[in-house]
Amino acid sequence: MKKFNLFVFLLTFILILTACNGNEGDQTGAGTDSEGNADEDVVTVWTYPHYEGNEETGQQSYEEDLKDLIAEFEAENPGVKVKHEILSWAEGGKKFTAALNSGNPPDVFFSLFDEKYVNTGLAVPLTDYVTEEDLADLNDFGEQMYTYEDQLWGFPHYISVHTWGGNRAMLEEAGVDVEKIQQEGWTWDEFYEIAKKGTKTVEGKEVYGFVTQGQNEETYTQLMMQNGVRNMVSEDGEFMFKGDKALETLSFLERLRNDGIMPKETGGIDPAKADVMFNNGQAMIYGRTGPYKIRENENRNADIDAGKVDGEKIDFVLLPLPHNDGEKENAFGGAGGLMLFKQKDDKGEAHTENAAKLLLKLTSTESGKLGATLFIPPSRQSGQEMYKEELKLDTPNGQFVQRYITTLTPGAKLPEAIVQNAGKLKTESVIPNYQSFIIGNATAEETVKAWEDYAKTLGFK
Amino acid sequence: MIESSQSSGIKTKRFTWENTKQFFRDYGWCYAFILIPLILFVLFTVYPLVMAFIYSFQRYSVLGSEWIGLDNYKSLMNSSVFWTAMKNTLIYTAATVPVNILITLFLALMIFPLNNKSQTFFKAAFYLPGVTSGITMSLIWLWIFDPTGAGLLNAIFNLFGLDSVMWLANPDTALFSLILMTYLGAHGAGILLYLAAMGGIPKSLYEAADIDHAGWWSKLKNITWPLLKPTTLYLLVMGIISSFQVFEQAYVMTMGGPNLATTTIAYLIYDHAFQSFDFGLAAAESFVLGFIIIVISVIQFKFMSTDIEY
Amino acid sequence: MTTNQQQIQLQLDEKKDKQRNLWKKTGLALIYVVLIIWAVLTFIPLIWMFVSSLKDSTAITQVPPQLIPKQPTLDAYQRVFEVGGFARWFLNSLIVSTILTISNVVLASLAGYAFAKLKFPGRHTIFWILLGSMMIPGQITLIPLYILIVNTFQIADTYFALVIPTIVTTANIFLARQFMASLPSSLIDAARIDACSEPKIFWKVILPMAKPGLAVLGIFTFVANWNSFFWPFLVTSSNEMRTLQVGLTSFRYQYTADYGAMMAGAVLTAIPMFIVFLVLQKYFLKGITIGAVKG
Repeated sequence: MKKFNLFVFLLTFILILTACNGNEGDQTGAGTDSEGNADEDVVTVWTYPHYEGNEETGQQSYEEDLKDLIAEFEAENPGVKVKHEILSWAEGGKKFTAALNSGNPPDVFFSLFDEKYVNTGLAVPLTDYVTEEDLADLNDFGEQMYTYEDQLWGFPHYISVHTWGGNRAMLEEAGVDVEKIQQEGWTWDEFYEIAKKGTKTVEGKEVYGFVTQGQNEETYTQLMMQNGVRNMVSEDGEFMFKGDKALETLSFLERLRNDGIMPKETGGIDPAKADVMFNNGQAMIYGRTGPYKIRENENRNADIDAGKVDGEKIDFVLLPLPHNDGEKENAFGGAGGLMLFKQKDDKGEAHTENAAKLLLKLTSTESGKLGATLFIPPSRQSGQEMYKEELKLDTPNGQFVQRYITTLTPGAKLPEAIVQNAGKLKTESVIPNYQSFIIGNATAEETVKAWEDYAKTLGFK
Repeated sequence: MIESSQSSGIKTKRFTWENTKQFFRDYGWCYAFILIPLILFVLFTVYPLVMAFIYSFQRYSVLGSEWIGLDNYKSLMNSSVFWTAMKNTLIYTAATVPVNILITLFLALMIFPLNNKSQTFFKAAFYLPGVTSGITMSLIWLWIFDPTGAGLLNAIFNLFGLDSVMWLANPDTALFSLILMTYLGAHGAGILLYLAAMGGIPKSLYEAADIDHAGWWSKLKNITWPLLKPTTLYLLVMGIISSFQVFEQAYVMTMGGPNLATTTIAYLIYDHAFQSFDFGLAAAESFVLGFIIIVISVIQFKFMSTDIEY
Repeated sequence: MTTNQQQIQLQLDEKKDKQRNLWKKTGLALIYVVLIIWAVLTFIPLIWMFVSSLKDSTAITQVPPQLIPKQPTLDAYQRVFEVGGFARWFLNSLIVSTILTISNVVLASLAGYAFAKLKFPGRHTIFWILLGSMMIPGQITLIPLYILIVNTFQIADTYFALVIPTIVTTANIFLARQFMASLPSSLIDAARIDACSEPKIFWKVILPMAKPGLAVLGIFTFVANWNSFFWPFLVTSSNEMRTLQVGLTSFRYQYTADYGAMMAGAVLTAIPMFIVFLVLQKYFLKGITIGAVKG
């Protein structure tokens, strides 16, 4: 009994002690504190840790760069105070969802464009705040990505593009002219032959010509784009993953799997696993990846040189997705940027204007560093100019990115009436049936049939 | 005093000062003991529940929801995915809860007769794996279930010349894999509870049984098991609740796939609420799920609830 | 009875005893074997967690899996400590978990006792409402709760917001009720005849008997809150207010994750719970014997 009391007492003591410490900490941690003068307007921004700091190169982390931009902004706009929060990639979206649907979203939030956000009525169009010069500077595809119902709903930091990636040493061993593929693209048949040459067993280790994730339909969807089908559902409500086009694409994947060019376990491979297999030399080509992998790979090679990481260095090359014979390359990509929101308990026009100013400051030419650091093209022409060295525009990879982003096309922006059913079709049929297909439980024909039937029940043409 | 007071407090219909005073004298402490929990409960549980219940009749929108009557309930009844999820959840619950309680009881019964040192050792050994967070555990199990030879289970299979299995990627084995994970998971919490309860059983009962030359089984059946009922009931009800609401594994490890094989009701609720912003439908699903759990719990209480007096 | 017969009888008894002892010993040995095998099985994930925290990033995904790292390294731990605020997050977790452990032990034991042993009008109804509330998944009450804490009370990013919804949980009240129910009522009745007040009965009679149960309740609560992620993540925004679990998600990046650092973080996170377990474990054994004799 006494001992138990003692324990409770001890815990309480520790508690009081730590609580005191805690309060001190609060006061010193004033950087993001909301306390301020009553006449100060507090603007909130939520974003993500886009890049890490690196001691060796002296590279600042994104948060540090963000703080610098915020300090500049606060100096230019006296009376406005900025509160920022760096979310975690894994769970940040959920937190924003909770905040948004409670009517209390941050004023500025990093996000790809999402119709659902606009449909809540809390997103604020940037159209009235953005200048002509801003728009002229902005990459067209970036502008299209954030345009919905004739309004601009956000301003992108960068244009992201999905590519495949390859191990140059392995590709050249298979007799491939990498630069030619980067500049001219390749067809499914050409890809198949090359990947087949790359499939072998080295010292008891299986090396695959191609590795991709099979947890969802992403690889299929992006290959459909190389077969002339841009969207799962078109803007006028037609289901597009049907008929011969769908069958051709699935059969292509089926052939790769059945011939052992890609692992028969593809259904169980997630994106991280595919990346690891590539790093470990178990894959000649893998995808999807993106220009960001160039930076990652450089860091990895440096870590291997420094003895921090065990492994073989890789000469990484970006590759286009192969296209079906007779179809055009059509890169899949998006734009990452900031969106503007108001709260349910509206804080007034002046507040929104301050938030819009902050948004444009954080996506200004200087912020092109975000894209450049990740090796993703900044969305502003001026940003690409400013950071052309970081973007290595003179290397084959850099030139490839420049070429490949010209093949980007924006996806269908579905009207509110069908957006929910399209989501349902994807999560309840397209993905589940694809998962059955990729592990070999269903044939290409059965899969397409199941999709078509489900689309009909949801009222798609 | 508590028992004898029934006549004075409530049976009289007139509310007089005397009656009220007597009522408080009789029951004042009872209510005092539950007062703070009740206030907090009303504020942080009842209020959100009532709000969610209202959502279930609405098309939720943050700027003003629209009343749509029973549409949410109707649409979930007509949704094939909801019933698939219901089936998965029922299979998961039926396969995990009773087996895990038996495993727990079995382990506790084996630990109980050991000396103090061994008891502490095994309690720690079984409890500690349970202290790591669900997300970390899920990530570790992802590696164990890796479809290639890099995973532990497949490495063992390959060692014995068996082919690799795509544990989580195959619709036929995915749900089973999640179930298997709970069997080998931490039973420490239940073991601690059972051991605490076993320690509370008066030794005199066993001594009396020894005089009657009762065997091990008969002691277990006639003394231990009945006296462990409150603990078993707790584990059963909590087990049912948590397995009916199982979410984290499906979220971290399989995203409800493949081919909806691990889509549980809780995962569906998450998907509808946080992916589709359809909080009304998600609320309706929550209340249907809640209703099922309540019915099962009431049945369990009927069978297991014997207020033990000795 | 002659001495001879007595001797034979004794010898027989001895033989029986020996046999029984042999049975007991083999039984015990069997128990140990089963328990050890099972414990090793449940420990595999923990071992893997520890081993992974000592590996570099390539060794983590090797085929076949490496159970003993060839070149163990503490780099991952260094990365965990380098990320801003580890000590602070640790402290926050400790504060929150400790407050909630104490509040839950105190409040749930009182309420659990009331529901188990006291008879008052409405006790069944109230208990069932409490219990019923657990049956509705928390995901759906999240938004109203968030509105309440963040919009109405405006206490986001404070310790208050972190603890208030779980100061005493229904699950704990239920647990307390269940183990209080198995305590002998005769002692309580005896105390009542001695005209003890209800708080005194609780303090002098119930609490000593309920200690093993309360210790279990305490450790459950501590572990649950130490590991709780989503609520702390929702209501904290500054780095200073984050808890350990929230802070450690920063090792999951957009395209990849630092598994080594995550596992190192998980190992470090588990250590305090080992300690809490070792401190509390002696109460798991003692206590109830007091009540048992008088029963």
